Amino acid sequence: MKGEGISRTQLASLVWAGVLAPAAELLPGITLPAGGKGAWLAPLAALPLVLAGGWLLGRLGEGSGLAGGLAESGVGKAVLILYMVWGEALLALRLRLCARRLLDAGRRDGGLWFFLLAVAAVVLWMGLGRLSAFARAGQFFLAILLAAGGVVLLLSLTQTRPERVLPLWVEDIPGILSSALPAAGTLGWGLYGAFLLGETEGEDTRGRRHWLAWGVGGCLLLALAQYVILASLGQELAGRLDSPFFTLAQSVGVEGAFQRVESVVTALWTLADLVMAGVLLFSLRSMAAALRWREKRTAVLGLILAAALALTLFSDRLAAAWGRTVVPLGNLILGLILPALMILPKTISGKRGRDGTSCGGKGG
Amino acid sequence: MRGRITALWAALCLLLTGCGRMPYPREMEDMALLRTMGVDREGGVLALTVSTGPRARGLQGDQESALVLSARGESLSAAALSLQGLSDSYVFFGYVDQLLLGEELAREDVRPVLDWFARDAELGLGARVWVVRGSAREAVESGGDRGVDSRLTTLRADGEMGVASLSRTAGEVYADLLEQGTAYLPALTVSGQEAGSLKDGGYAVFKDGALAGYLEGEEALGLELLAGQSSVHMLEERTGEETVSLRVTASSAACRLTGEGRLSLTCRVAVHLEEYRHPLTASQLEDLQNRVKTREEGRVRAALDRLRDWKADCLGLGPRAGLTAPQVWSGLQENWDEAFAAMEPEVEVRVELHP
Repeated sequence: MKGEGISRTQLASLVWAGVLAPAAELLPGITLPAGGKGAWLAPLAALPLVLAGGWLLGRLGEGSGLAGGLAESGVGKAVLILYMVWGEALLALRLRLCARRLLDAGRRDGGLWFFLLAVAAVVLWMGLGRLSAFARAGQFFLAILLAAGGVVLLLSLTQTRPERVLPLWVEDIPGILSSALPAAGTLGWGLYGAFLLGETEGEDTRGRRHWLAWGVGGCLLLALAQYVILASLGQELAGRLDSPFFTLAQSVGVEGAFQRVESVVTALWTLADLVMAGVLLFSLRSMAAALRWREKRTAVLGLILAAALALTLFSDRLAAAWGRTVVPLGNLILGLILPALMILPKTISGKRGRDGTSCGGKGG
Repeated sequence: MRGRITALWAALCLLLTGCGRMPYPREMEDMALLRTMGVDREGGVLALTVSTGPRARGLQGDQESALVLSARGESLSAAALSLQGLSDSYVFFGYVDQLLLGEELAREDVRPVLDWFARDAELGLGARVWVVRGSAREAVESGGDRGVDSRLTTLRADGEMGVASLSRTAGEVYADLLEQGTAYLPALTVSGQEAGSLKDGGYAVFKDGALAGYLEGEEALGLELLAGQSSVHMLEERTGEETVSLRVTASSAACRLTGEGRLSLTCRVAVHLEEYRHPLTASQLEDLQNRVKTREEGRVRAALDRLRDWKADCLGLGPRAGLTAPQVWSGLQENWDEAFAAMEPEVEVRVELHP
């Protein structure tokens, strides 16, 4: 992938377009048990965790990129393989969930494997191509997804009842803060974008502000979307549904123009799945290259393994259960805790080193 | 490389032999696209009656009569599955946007039906819901060859234009039942077997999923005023020696909680002078305005009294008013049903008379 530089905006677009897939499936259902009426604020509560995760992964990848940096030591290589295994699990889950959604959108019986293999083939085609082309497509896909989601939420505005989400009390704050964890775990699907940081080009000086703007903007938009969903359906009904966003899409329409839009929205949301799967595959390539494995062969084998796992290991029920519990937790560990544990010794030894040099200088 | 990938892919496909079947193709002409569903409780089991609109046939724009099917089952899904066997077309529920609930079912609990609409892949919460004062099967069958969907579509459109009862979606009703424990639904009566046999029957009020009672006439108009969506209606009033006709065209409602925790409601009504013999003087207009105010206030109070009797704040007046005084609301919301039943709300109607 070397020499296929992409811009930071393109990488941010890829990450957010991909994250929209799990976000639409899981939010606000996953944050409701803790956040209750205030669950719509969970993406904003998760913002510090998201920014911290991004900063930690960015620090780890300073210099030769995240994969390259990790591959420099034995422990780092083991950690890199752990990221590869987790990425493989996420890829398998994403393929399964995407195929299930396509099957449901067409209201067809049977044939899940047909959709799964079709999605996997498209992901493979994208994943073996050029990253720059995939990144350009990601920007376009994000625009489509935002437009589709925006239309659904805009048409739902007439159904909103502010009293369903307001007023919030001081007693609600601990719940809202604890809902930050599942929300951050959901947004943690985007952590593999960090493995593509090494492919970005541009001036470093604007880097931090750039990521901050994308992080704040994305979480703010998600919070607004959650507000519309919860103010329309109420927390009780939203908590009973598998995916409140798609249920909301089922109940909106324009008389005389189009009465049902959910199949179109569901089909368009496949783009988010494809982008997320593509990001995972490109990051697998990046990790394989850092380990001096054949990156394209690793990507092909990885995808075939993921498709096989999606078909054999995950049932619909297991996939949904993993998506709600295991994956957010795993994302938090790999996106926050593990990078923090790896940076802490570096930072401490760096400080000691600087102190030692300084003393030596004085002594000399 | 490409050859290897193809070989691997083919191997994976071979492994899948017998894993599942291909998606089943369906042709539009082989499908019965259902528009209306009626649900009844009949002798301890659930009965589904479904209807399509008139169906297109051939290339000449010919129309086949509407398909009406009925099946019973211990559960809604069982009854829906039985419907598949009754037709030689594939019965498709994805276009059901009109739901009729029979009175017997309504007296028991409507939440399982709404829950089914929320969870089912084909059905949706955007469907409009009515309660039939009688049997939903009878209402669905009253459409005859043309089906009942066009009549219900008219009623819905009339409701949106303010000339019939307010229509409500399954999502709005289910969310209200889950959030505030009570909801209102437009009701229908069935008279005869001809087109237009479905008529407005006021509003059905639900408490904890079961029918608490109906609001009709003045009470139904009062509920619409409180909802801020009064239907267009005529008033005849006497001023001096002559009788004048007035048309109520629009309304809006606002509610707030006073510092003492009392509900204060303000309804604004726009009234147009329609029929009169002589131009009215300023004092006559003022007199008319006061009469309209008294009349509309009476309607609002009648609706409120009935709702308070049932301890059913189906309009969500309390939570809405709570936004204006969150501190006061925090003390009331726990036992709002009791507080609502016990309090005498302040009602003010402001009339805007357009001569």
